[in-house]
Amino acid sequence: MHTLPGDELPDELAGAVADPLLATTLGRLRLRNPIILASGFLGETGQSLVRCFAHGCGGVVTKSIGTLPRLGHANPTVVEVDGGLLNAIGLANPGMEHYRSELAAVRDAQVPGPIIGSIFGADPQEFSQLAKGMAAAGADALELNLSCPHVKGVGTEVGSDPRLVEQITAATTAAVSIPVFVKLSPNIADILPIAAAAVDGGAAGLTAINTVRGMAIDVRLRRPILSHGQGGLSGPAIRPVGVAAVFRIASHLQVPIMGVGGISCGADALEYLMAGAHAVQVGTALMDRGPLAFAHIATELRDFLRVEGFGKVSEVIGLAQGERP
Amino acid sequence: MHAPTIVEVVAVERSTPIHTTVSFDYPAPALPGQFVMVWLPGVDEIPMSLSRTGVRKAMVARVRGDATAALCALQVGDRIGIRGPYGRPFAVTRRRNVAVGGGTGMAPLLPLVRHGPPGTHWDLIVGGATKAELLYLDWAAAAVSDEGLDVTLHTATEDGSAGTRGYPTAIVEALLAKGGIDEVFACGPELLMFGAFQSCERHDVPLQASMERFMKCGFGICDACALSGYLTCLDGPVFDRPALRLMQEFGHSQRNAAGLPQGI
Repeated sequence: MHTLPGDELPDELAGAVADPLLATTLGRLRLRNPIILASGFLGETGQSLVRCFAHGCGGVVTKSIGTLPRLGHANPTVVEVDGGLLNAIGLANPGMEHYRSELAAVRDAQVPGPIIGSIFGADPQEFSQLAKGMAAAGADALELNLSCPHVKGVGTEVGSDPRLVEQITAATTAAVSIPVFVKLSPNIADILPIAAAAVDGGAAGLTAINTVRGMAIDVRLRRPILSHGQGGLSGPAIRPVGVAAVFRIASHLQVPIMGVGGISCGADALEYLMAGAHAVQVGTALMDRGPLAFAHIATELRDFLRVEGFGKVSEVIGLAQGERP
Repeated sequence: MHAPTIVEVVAVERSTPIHTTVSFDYPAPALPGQFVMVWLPGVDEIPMSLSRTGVRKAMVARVRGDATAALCALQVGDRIGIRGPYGRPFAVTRRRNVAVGGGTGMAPLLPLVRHGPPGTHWDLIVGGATKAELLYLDWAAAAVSDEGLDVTLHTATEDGSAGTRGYPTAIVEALLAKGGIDEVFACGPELLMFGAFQSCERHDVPLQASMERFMKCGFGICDACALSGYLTCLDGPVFDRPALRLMQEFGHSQRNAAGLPQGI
């Protein structure tokens, strides 16, 4: 894999990210470690995705890609708040036609883990077309973004209707042979019926959770900070929301889950794994821990497993569920 | 905290017929070459280089779009949001340097030359379309006489109304050809910086150039400012010659808000 000068991991971190203790599977996907780049971070360009692998991640999820290029909302699109980050990027993306060339660059780099292509659309037809595009571009799996909280007509409006979720998932899984994960929104009363609808539609797995709807107001300017007004909250503040969602889904459904929301260190990742996630996604932690966040989290996770005497990371999955019926 | 701090504009100056300098007080320490994200309420939030880096900071713009129009229309007392400073600054480690700027690219070169280590000699090249549009030329001339800086001032104008007719890169090339230059610092239109890069490659002289790309977060998470694998906000905006050499996009393309490459 090609790396930029200075991007080589220090030996200690390089050893951890490829430590056999962390090697695991996510359905059909094989991961050198369970720390995956979350969608929406560093995933607009192929070269940045390659760099995430250089920085130690086990897999990547791309930026959510739609049919046509989209400029997204005006800035400010991102603002830090207590306990996390609020964003309303507005699904800015270069469109599937261009994005194929970005993914080709990742494929050419022979990265050591799966590329999970995130797509968003308005209806089953659009999702299945985009799925074919992603698969043709070389994605190893798909993640359906049914849960963006800050764009009208797509996102949560799609993802809060169980029938539509099942239809979209069914149309997508019928269109491609790669595994399809469905990313779920926490902005509903109960996440379980939506998760079940995705599984009924043929989803190979689930991702929980997307951002929590939120807003920040600047009192001196008497206006919301984000140009869009409301946005999606990520970071440590939403970790308990995500852990509870994963726990609830894992206690009812037998599919691999990617846990996401506020994971900044090894202990945070372990919370999700013990709730029942098979792997975790990291995004907002890049803000405070920088590009090496993946490698640091993997190292902390590996060290915990060693100290506590586990033989492989999969042994901790669902431990907090207690006795299962 | 990556959230805007609201400041009031304390001064607005028409620095040339097309350039407006806006000053504000913002105590966070900043180094020449770093940038701040400037929130123009209801309009946009954009990265701006600092032309003054003390507690009182300043930025300079010319009208290019909605955001720069709003910035140039600011009045004393108006409230704007500032976050940062962000990014890798210029680093002066050598004695005999060239600083070459075109248009608003002069912004970071002003504090660079002014706050460089004692004993540094500068060939400062100010470029613009016409004599009237040469930014901070008066300051540079005054600095040479009043502040005792060791600066040799050069000018280049496209219409020949002052200094060398043509681009300031011709002066860079001439200085490097003559020899005795340890390092070049460049900020301005990308083709100016690309020209300076080519001269530095030809004469094997180190270069630091301050790149500009569309930005959203400013702190390395969103990928909007991706530049051939680098992040302009985090790895730059100041890049050295080995990094610039690896950038296929340098001098050729930049990404728009959707992430689509567009010609320079």
